[in-house]
Amino acid sequence: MSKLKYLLTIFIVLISVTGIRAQIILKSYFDIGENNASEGVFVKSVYRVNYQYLKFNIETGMQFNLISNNPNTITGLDILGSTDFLVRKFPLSAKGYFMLNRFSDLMYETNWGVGIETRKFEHFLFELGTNFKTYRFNSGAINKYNISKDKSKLRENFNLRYVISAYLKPHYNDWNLGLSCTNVDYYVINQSTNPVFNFQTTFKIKSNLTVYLDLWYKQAGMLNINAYYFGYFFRGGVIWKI
Amino acid sequence: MRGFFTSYKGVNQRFEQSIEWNRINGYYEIDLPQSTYSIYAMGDSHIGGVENLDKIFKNARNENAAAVVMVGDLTTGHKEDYDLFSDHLPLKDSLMYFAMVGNHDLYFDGWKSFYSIFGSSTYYFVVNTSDSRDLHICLDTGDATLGEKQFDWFKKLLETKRKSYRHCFVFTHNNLFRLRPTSSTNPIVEEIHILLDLFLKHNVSIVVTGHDHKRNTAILGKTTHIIMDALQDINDRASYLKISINGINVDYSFEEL
Repeated sequence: MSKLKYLLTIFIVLISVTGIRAQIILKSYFDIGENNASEGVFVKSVYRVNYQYLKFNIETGMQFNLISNNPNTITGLDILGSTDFLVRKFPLSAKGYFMLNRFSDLMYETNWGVGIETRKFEHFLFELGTNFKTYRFNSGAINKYNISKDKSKLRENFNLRYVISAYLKPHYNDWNLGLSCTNVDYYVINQSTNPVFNFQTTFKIKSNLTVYLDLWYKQAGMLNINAYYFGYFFRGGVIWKI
Repeated sequence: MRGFFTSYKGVNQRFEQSIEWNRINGYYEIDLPQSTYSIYAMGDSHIGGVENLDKIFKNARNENAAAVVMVGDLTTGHKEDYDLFSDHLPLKDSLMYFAMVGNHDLYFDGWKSFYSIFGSSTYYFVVNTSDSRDLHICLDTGDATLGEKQFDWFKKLLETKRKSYRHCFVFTHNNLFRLRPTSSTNPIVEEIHILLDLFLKHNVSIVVTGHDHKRNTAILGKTTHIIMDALQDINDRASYLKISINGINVDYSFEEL
């Protein structure tokens, strides 16, 4: 948590010292859905702040549990930084991120990684990267269950992360419909062999205010060639450029 | 291609049939006069060839294993493969065996053949020794998910029964962790989260899986996660797992073929 405080401090300082060319974007959304492991409906809300300055972008967010089988109130934290650049006139964005998922009162999962994204093509978005996942016991669990330090975490390295999205309209259009295949979300990163699909709708109400509604569908075992329903959720949110 | 989108008979339907089979046939208890015993485990035989299959049954019999547990992908799903597998099964009087389905067993509507030979794919069995009792739980992850109903059954089983037993072992087909670069599919991460929580709370000793075809082990908390080599004849490093229980001590070894 101390690392997070440090990063948040840097973020606030950056906002304070940069000038009028900066752009702050606030994002908020709700997830409502269910899956095979959720024991009924879950409802979660997320609040995010995005700060853009020239070609640089930093974003952080926090996920709150409203209804679910997770006993924690704050269930996710993340921070990501990115920068835009050109490779022979081909626009790319490089990003690095850290994510914390507090999925139980005994354990949590961290992910960090890097990726490259492009919106070169007006109707498509592609992202490719790698992530490093660690499952850990928290200190309460370590003490309660007398777990030795060398057995308190498990790592999965070099997991492939990807986003492939196609849109009906260009990225800058006032409204859009899109379809994505990905193994990542803000607070969940699946193994690369578990693609998740989502259908996206966005509508720009005003020049600085966009609303959106997504439907995410998860199927287990697709690359086992023996797939079965896992779960779904709706995501509704707003994006406000200040 | 159909399997990319759906399975022939989903895990919830298979679970209901398994529970019905359990209701009629009961849960096995193996009574042993001694305090030490061994369980042999194997997976991914993908019959075809039966040379390694015969070897594990022979070794298990010769070494008086309490049981052989087969964690799925025993066949390619074709009925003729199931028939061949069935022809090589030992008599239960001579060697107790337990099986559960893997994804390959379910291809070509293979669940019908599995059910007719083995019956349930979700159940538990108990080993009673001279001084204690151990719980062995077998789960169906042929679809890379336990499904809502089996999940509920598993949780209730741990909550109601686990405390009455010394050791608890879980056997299933799908490996939970991606411990090496591989194209095999794991369960979705939200499901892994709940399972890890349960394994800790209920002191699961060992989770035995296959699916990835190459052995790997990892320890997280009190639980040892074991991924076994494929037993199939064409695998140069084919092996099976021998779990040795001696009082409170549990050990394991990979036995190469």
